[in-house]
This record gives sequence, structure tokens and C-alpha cells, in this order.
Amino acid sequence: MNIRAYRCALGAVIVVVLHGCVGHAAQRTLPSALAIPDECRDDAALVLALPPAPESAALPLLAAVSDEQPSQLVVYDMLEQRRRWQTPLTADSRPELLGDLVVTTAHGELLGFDALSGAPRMHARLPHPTFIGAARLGSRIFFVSSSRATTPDAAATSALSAVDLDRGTLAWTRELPAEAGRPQVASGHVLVLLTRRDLLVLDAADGEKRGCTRLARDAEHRADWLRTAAGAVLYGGAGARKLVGDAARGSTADSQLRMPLALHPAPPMLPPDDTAVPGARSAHGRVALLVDLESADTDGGLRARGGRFYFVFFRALFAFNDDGTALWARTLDSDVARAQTTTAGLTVALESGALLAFDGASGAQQELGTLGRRVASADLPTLAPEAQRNLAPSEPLDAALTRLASIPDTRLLPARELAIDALSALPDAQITCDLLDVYAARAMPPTLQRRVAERLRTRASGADCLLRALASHADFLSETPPPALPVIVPVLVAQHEKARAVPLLVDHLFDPQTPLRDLALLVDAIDTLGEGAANDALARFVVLYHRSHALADDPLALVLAVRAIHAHGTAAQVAQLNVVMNDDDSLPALVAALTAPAQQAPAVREAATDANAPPAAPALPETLDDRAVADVFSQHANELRTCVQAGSTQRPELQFVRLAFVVAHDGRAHALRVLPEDDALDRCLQMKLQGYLFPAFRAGSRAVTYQLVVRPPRVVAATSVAAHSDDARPFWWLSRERAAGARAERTARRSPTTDAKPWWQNENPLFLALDPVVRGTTSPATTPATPTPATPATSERPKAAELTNDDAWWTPQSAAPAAPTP
Amino acid sequence: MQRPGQQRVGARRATCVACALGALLFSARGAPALAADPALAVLEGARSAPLGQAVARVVELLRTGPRDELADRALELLADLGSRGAQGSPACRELLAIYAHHRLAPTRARAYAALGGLRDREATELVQGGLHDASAEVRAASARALARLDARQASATLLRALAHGVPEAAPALGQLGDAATLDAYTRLLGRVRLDVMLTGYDAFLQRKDLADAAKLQAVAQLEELGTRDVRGLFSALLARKGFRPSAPLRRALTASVARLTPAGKPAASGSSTPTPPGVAGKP
Repeated sequence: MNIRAYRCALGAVIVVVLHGCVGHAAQRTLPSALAIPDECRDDAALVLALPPAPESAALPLLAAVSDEQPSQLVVYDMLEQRRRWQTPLTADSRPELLGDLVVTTAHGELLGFDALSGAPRMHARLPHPTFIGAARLGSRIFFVSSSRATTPDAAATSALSAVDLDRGTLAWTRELPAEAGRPQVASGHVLVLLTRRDLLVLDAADGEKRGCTRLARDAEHRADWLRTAAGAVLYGGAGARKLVGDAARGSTADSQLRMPLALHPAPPMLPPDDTAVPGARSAHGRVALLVDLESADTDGGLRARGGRFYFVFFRALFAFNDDGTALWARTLDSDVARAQTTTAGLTVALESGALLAFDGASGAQQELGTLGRRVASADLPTLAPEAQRNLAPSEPLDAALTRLASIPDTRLLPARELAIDALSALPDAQITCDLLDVYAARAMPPTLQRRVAERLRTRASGADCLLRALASHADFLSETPPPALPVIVPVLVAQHEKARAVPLLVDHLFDPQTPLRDLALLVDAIDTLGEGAANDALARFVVLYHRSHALADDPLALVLAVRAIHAHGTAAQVAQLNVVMNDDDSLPALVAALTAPAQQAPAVREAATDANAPPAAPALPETLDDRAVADVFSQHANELRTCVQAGSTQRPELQFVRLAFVVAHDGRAHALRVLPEDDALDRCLQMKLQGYLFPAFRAGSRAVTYQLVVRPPRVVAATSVAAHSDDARPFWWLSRERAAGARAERTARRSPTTDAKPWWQNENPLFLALDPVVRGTTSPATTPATPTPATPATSERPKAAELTNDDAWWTPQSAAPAAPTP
Repeated sequence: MQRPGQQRVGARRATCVACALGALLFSARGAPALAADPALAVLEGARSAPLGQAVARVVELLRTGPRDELADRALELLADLGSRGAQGSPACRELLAIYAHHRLAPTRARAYAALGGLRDREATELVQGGLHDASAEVRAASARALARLDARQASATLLRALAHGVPEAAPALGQLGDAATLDAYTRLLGRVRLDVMLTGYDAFLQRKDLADAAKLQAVAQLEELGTRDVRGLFSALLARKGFRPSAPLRRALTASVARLTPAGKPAASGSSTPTPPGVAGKP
């Protein structure tokens, strides 16, 4: 026999042996698929009686997909701190550690490798293209694959398959008529969540259905995920529940563990079971709430192990107590690829390849080595690494949170918001200084600045920091910006800082670098906190500026100062003011604004003991309401029409013009955006809007959207809107709008005879009709339009297509009904 | 037929009539308005009043918060009264401090000019604060006022202001700075435009209270720049009538002018130091 023939024969033998050892399950004859009826009986008793699965020994390994070219599957030994093996593989799904087996998928097959050696141990063709997850019970691997619905009418289908590791054969496959989650195991049984609603129990040996119970009977009982732990069945959404007693009947007797963090939208406490996790880089693992759920001592109790929750958001890492107070926080050098809770705390695999362990209580950091390759996705064991003595001490919580909140990375916005919230919840007076530092940090987004301002208002300590900040002034030579008065002043007022704050406030009142828009705030604060000397300052301010053009555009501060003196000033001060007010040279806007109060008897406070103190001057409204916006536009309808006419000449199809702008608290509008985009229209409306003054109000600024209807209302039936405000996303309300329309329609249907005006019958949109008016309608130029409401939605829940960027990635995207019907 | 002499007389008469009509028109429109504005009348009256009373009247007017244009005129009048020898007072200073923080920058600038004009040494610190103002106009007025106040203690702040782009600080430093200040000033060469720097050197070199050594060193360092502007400054100084330098300084300036060609480069091999980067002097 020549060498070539020998090699051929040897190759054939190896193939035959391999075929026997690593059985290709797909080549085996599949047992017939069993359809599970779409009706779930109440088999809770059966589920509760299931004995727990035997604990399988976890190995201290990390299984990762590295996307460095060539893409590889890598297994790293955390104990020995070395790479155990790696194999070139472009994995389609995140690897999973199942005891001494690592599974992943590639090219439509489930591949199993020995975790310690990397030797191939099994492969099986996926019945459906998307791998959802796998579980192991002894020598049997169970995995779920699914096909998403491609059309709204079609239903998603899934399959649960079982593979015998010993024989390398496919034991059975069950087709499931719905979207199924990753399998869980109990002794002799496999549990699968169907459509985030029903719990299906199958026999592990033959795949026969043993029972089914409905977990999610209403919106409150969500079942996005399912876990079996220590003989208990746990499920939930943003909160966690343990199946006990008559829980399946929808009773409230079952316990619930709520997530302590105020995240919006609330993420599920554990990742949803039916979400496929790719092997490539994705948000899965990088954004996660981590909690190790365990049964509590009390019957039916449920708690987080150690009372701790962890939250990972790319580079940000938080640990919280179960009451929501922050324990520790870290800003990591690289994004987290995967984090896993352990008995000691948290193990984290970074995208850079570094492996870290954190002590759950203190946040002390332990380095577990590095993979030496970039990690796209990974799986970690729940096994805690061997504790070291010399752990890197954790950064003090306030410093860590301040650093995290100030980090100039816009991706981390939600984490930075969380850091601000956690920081502001700390009681130390120094935190107020930290929050001010965060506010003034480089490139701080306005949304975060607003959040800091809001949180500062809730603080009852730290006045010294605020006063220090207030004592600083804008300085050209030292390049110091003016202090953030709208942030500092309200807090000092809330803390009743009289003696120390008033002189500093007066200094800013007379500082030319103080922004004009902040003067009213200062006058108001001085009036609130100050006493006799403060009125002197206000009187000086009025005398200095009552004829000056410096405040002609915005006399609000003067108006407030005059009213304050009328309300609380001495007789001499009021007399002096009356002289000022009778002066022909006084600012017309000031005189006009004060006409009404000036006609009243001057309110005089001779001393603090004066019992007949008059009521305080009427306060400004907290914010700008929609009606006030509509009033201003209605007053200028004719001017606006000229702009719209110019735009509609160019665009005969123009039906409406949408304006989005910001109104400052002094009533001036800016940052106008016009849709549709048209230079001439934009210029014209910019000029008009600059000339309008909306009513002044107290709170910061308000984003307003307003719609000018150009064509008759029938044309714009589905686009009527009300003025809305929003911080960052000007058009976020599109989905809310639809919902509001549907709501209004339902209300109208329920009570057709009600006299209450539907929501759309206000002055917005302003109807600037250019076309001939349809016969039978009233004159559109004078009558506010009443456009037809938005077409009502057929379902209360938004469909997948209606989901906007306001929704989080964990929101179900399926077209199938996610909410169970009772 | 009129003779030429008669024509001239006629022309004169016509001119007179026109003047009279103009005066009438003025009295009809302007004079009553002047009389009707008491604030303006106060200002007009103050011009002719004794200096002390004039200052007091203007201060009283400012205390009432007049219109912007009146306030500006009042502040200008105070500066003018100061240049005529009027002295400031604590009350005046207190009021000017308020106007030095007025929201309108021109008003602030005039307030600083008034403080400088009244030569109120007590106001030095207040005037120095103007260098920190956001308005260039105000910073300039403050620098000039400091020079008028002979505020030598403000040299450090003026140096900072010069480095931050306040050109008016240069001549002020030239008037106020001592030898150490001149040394620090020279270190700004290359960071501040040369034409600005030369306005300060002009003042430094004319000072009689400054030691020759410091001046000679400055001349040597300027000569190293070798620019036409430097030669122009030295030539202008030598030609200036009031300039009476010491013999060594005159010799140094004369020699420097001789070495520097009109084009700016040194005639001899002397110095070939290139113009420092950032210097905006003409080559």
C-alpha cells in the first residue's frame, strides 16, 4: 500500500471515529414535533412540587468571543490567570458556560467544546435560525431556538431541543407555537417561558409536556424572565416574584422584590429570556442590572443576596443596597463586556480583555489578569475568585460618584444621571459642593445641569459651599465665569440663609456681569430673605435703573423690586418710589407693569413688628402654560400668516408649519426650529418670534412646540397637537400624541353627551388658512380650528412599529401581544 | 447800481439776519427744552460753578438715577472738573463706585475715567477692579485711570491685564512701573504685539525717576528685535523736544538708531536675533 492510499484510509478512519464520538445530531432522525396547545392550565402545584436540579460544579473559567481578527473563541482560567485554549471561530451567539462545556453557535449549528481542553464535544443543527439559550442537566443539554414573526399576522415559533452529551445525539425536539425563552432545569424537568406569559414544564427525558401555568395574568405580573434557584421558581420584569401558593391564580399573596433604583424606563431585573444575544459586540452585558436572587427565611420570601444590586452601564459600575442607597461606584477604563454576580461580589470582564473582581460590600478591586485580546461577548461563572489580601481600596463613594457624574462621555448620560441622584442622596454637607462641581464640570450637558439643579434644591445642608460659590464673581483676568445663580439662589432661599446670603445676593444684583435673566431671581431672593437693609439695596437698584435702557428690554427685575418695596419697604422708601414712578422719564414698560399695584394703597412695613403687613406681591406662575402660548400666537395671527403665505407659495402642498422653540423664564423665545425646513419661512418666523414676549414664569425655561395649520383641518386630521414641553428630545411626544388621541377618542365614545371639550379643542393649532374656506365652516382666520382627532389606535398598547427612541432596548419589540389577557 | 462796498455791507446784513433767525429757531426749539430739563440745567450750571460746588451738584444729579445720556454727560463733566483741579470726596467715590458697576459698559468706562480725573487716591483699588471687567472699553478706561491716579501698586494687575490683551495697560505701566516692572514688562515681548509694547517703552524711557541701567537694558533688548518700529521709536524720542535723557541713554539710543537701518535690520553684524514669534511689529 502506498503512502497516499494509507493516508486516505487513515483519514477515513478518523472521520468515522469522529463521527461516532462527536455525533452530528442533525443527521439523526428527529422525533415528531409536538405542538403545545395555546391554552395553559393551572398546573402551579406541579411546578411548585418540582425538586431542584442537582448543583453542577462551576469552573473558574471565562468563555469569550474576541472580535480581533481573526475572530476567536477563547477560554481563560481565572484561577491560573492564563489562557487555556482558543480556536478560530466567528461565533453568532454569546458563548455559554455549562459546567465543563462551552457552547456557542456558528453557521446555524450549536457547537459544544470541552471547557478545559477546547476539544469539540458536540454539534447540533438549530431547528430555527436564532439561538436563544441553553441549559444543562447532567449529561443532557437543552437549547431553545426561535424564528421571529416576519409579518404582523404570523406568529413566532420556537423549538426546544435536547442533546445527549454522552452519545452526542439529539434526543428530542419539541416545536413550540410561540416565542420561547431560554430553558431552565429542575430535577428531571425542563422549564420554558412562553410569550413572556406561560410557564411550560416538559419532561427532560422525552420532552413530553408535564404541565403549564400562567405566570403573567396582568400588567403587574410580568414574566420577562424565569429562573429556578434552590427549589424555587422565580420570575418577573422590573421586579422579581417567587412562585408560591396560589400565585398562579393571580393572587397578591406572592412576594415581590422591587428594584430599588429609579431608572427610566425601568430595566428588567434580569435579562429577558427570549432575547437572543449576539456573539458580536452589543449592548447586552454592557448595560445590565445584576442581582443574585435568593429565597428569604420567611415563607415565600425573596431577597437579593447580600442585599445588593449592581448596575453596569458601559464604563460605569454601581453597587446599591436594596433600599436604593449607593454602596460604591467605579468608572472603569474600558466598557464592560460581561459582569456576573458571585457570592463575594461581582466579577467583570472588560472589553479590553481585563478581568476584575469587586468585593460586594466595599467595592475593593482585585485584578484577575487579562485575556490579552479584545472581548466582544463573554460568559462568566458565578464562582467567586479566590480572595486576595491586598485589594485595591475602593475610592470614597462621593468622590467616585462625582467623577462618574462629571465624566465627559455622552454615552454615559443615564449612568451620570444615576450618579447625580446617588450623590444627592448622601447626607454630608460636602456633597453640596460636589454637586456644584458637577454642575460646573467641563462640557456638562444641559439635561444633567438641570438634574443637578433639581437635586440641589432638595438638599438641606451645605450652605457654606453655596455661599462660597455665591461669593465668586465673573472675572476677565482669571477667566472666572459668573456663578450659576439659578442653581445656587433657590437652594439658599429654601435653606433660609438670610444673614450670610443677602449681602452676596446684593453684590450680584449690582454686578454688571450678572446675566440680565438672573436679575429677577436675585430681586425675588433678596425680597424673600432680606429685611430692612435689603430693601435699601432694592431701592438703590430701582433708582439707578428706572430710567436706564439697560433694563428696558427686560424690566421684570425692576417690577419685582418696586413691588417688594411697596410690600415691605419703609414709608421713606415707598415715598421715594412714588417720586420715581411719577417721573416722566421712567421706563414705560416699568410704569405700565406697575400701574395696577401703584393704584393700590402703598403697603408699608415700618418694622418687623407691624402686624398689618400687606399680602406679598403676586408671585409669577411656576411655568408657562399652553393657553398663554396660544394667546400670544393668536394675537399675532395676521403677522404669522404673512410668513406662512411666503412659505406656501413655494410649497403648494404645505399643510402645516411646526414650530419648536424655548421660552426663557423672562418670556423671551429663542432656539426656534421650523418644520418643514424652508429658509424664507424660517427667517420670517425667527424675526416674528423674537418680537413676541410670552408671560414670565419662575422655573428655568420651557420647550414649546406649536403648530400652525395652513390648509383646512380635514387635511391634517391626524396631526393635531397640543403644546408640549420636553427637556432634550423635541419630538419625543409623537407617540404620546397618538396615545392621547386614542385616549380622547375612547373618552368621547364612553360619554358622548359630555360638555367637556376634547383635548384638541384649544387654540393650538392656530389655523392660518390660505385656501378658500370650505363651505359651511366658520371663518378660520378668527376661529380656532377644531381638527379631527388622531385616528384612534386599535389597541391600548403601542405596537412594535410605534415604539420610538423613548423606549429602551429591553422593551419587547415583538408584534405578538405581550400583555396577557385575563 | 450798488457799489462793491455796499454789496459787502448787504452780505453782512444778510448773514446777521440768518444768524438771528437761527438763534430764534434755536431759542424756540432748543432753549426751552434745555430749560425744561432740570437735570440738564444742573449740568450746565455746574460747568460755571466753583469746582467744589460743581462736583457736589453733579453728584446729587447722579444720585437721582438720570437717563443714560445724562448720566454719561455728568460723568464726563466730573472727569473734566477733575482735570481742572476738582477733588473727589468719599460721597463722590461711593456714588462713582455704583456707576463703575453699571450694566452699561460706556457708563462704567466713564465712571472710571471720572475716578481717574478726580485723582482720588482712595479709589485706586476700586479703579483696579475695572481691569477685571468683561468689557474692553471699561478695562481700557480703568488702565488709563490708574495711570492718572499714579497707582504704582497696580503694576502687577496691569501686567496681567497686558498679558490678557489690554493694550491700554502698556502706557499705564510705562508711567507707573519701576525697574522690576520694566523687567517683567520686557518678558512680555513676543507675547504682546510690539506696537502695543512700544507705547509702554516710550513712557518708560522718558521717565526721570527710573534708573538708567534699567532703561539701557530695555534699549539693548529692543535693539535685538531690530525692527523698523523700534528704530522709529528711538528716533522719535531723540527728536522729541521735551525728551532730556541722560548722556549714556542718549548715546545708547543714538548708537542703536545708527545700527538699525530704516528697513529694520541692523547695519552692522550686531544682532541677528529674529523677531520673536507672535510679535506683530512691522518688519
